[in-house]
Amino acid sequence: MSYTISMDLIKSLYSKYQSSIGTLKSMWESYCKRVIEIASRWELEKILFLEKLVDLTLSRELLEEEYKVLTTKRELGLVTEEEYSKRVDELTDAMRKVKEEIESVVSMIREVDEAIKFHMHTVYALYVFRREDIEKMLRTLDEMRSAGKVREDTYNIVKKDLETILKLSRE
Amino acid sequence: MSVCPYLYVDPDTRKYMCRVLGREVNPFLQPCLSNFVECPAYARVSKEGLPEKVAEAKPEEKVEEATPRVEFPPTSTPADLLLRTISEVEERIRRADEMWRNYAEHIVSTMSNWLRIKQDIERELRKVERLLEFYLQKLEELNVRKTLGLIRLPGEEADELLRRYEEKVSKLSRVREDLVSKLREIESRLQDHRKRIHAILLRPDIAKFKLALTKLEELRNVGKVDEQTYEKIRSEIMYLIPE
Repeated sequence: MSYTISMDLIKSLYSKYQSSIGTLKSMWESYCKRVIEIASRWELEKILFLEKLVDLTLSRELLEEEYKVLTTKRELGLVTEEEYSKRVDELTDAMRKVKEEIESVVSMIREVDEAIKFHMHTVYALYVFRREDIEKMLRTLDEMRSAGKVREDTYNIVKKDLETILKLSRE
Repeated sequence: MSVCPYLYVDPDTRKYMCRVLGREVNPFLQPCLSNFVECPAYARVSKEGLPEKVAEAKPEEKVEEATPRVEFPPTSTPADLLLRTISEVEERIRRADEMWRNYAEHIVSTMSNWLRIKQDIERELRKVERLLEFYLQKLEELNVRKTLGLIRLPGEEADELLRRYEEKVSKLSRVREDLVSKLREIESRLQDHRKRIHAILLRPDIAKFKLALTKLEELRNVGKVDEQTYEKIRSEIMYLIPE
């Protein structure tokens, strides 16, 4: 008795994989859309984190400057020992708090940024853009820079993004 | 000293009175104690005699007399008059001293408050400038991404984000302008007062500040103080030393 695989079985298996692949495609599209949505929201709300960081960094600089001024004034005899000790204690305490807050905000930004960038670059590279799109963007960015339409720091930030996407994109 | 014959001290009110005018006079502002002959009232009376009212009031006096006799109360002499007037001047000087002291104290306290407020304003200005720079950079980055098509925000959200950045930049620019303008205005308004009181009130401290300034220069020269700290302390000391 010969063993034959029925055509019905083949068709049934094929249909099952077609359905699974369809599910995967639909899941991929949902994933991409979700990534874009989260990244968009992050783009809007990250500014609050950054503004807080600017504020904290400046506070730290001002406290450090005041500490230096106070130490020099003490040496010049413009403040008493008592005034100096009292203010130094206050400054040291304030500097410690600000330092902790800066570390905390930086760590939060980095954590969310890296996680979102990983997904976003993948989606940009495999779902949103074609390789030639990214290459064209890089050329346009260089032209803008040559024409003096973009500052060096902005140029570097955008270029780094484009290069990461380019690395991930398909040939 | 020549004394006007029509000047007398009222025994009840102890005020200087002019018999011709029939009212109180200030003999140190008017010529009663010097060249009274130039006094219009005296000149008139010399020509026309005392007014009837005055003459009636003092019928016993003969105004026609070539050298009218001044009737001072028995205790009032020209020296008494002068001493009384000197007391008045002394009182005025005392009041002026007190006013000057109050003024100087008020300026010192205002300057001290202003130094603190000025530091707060300068701190706020630095923060505003830092944020302004930050938002200008974000605004440019967003525009570049939009031009390239790299931003994946839906059109409306991207525009909303751009609008938010632009609003922030405009608000921060306004705040910066206001702070700078107020800072300049107050500095300028305080300047004349500062100069006035520096010359007198801070004289004993000037040597102390000048010594501190010299020491500060030395610390900078040997690299113990950085440029920023040097400038900050120097400007504070210069604020206290008269120009």
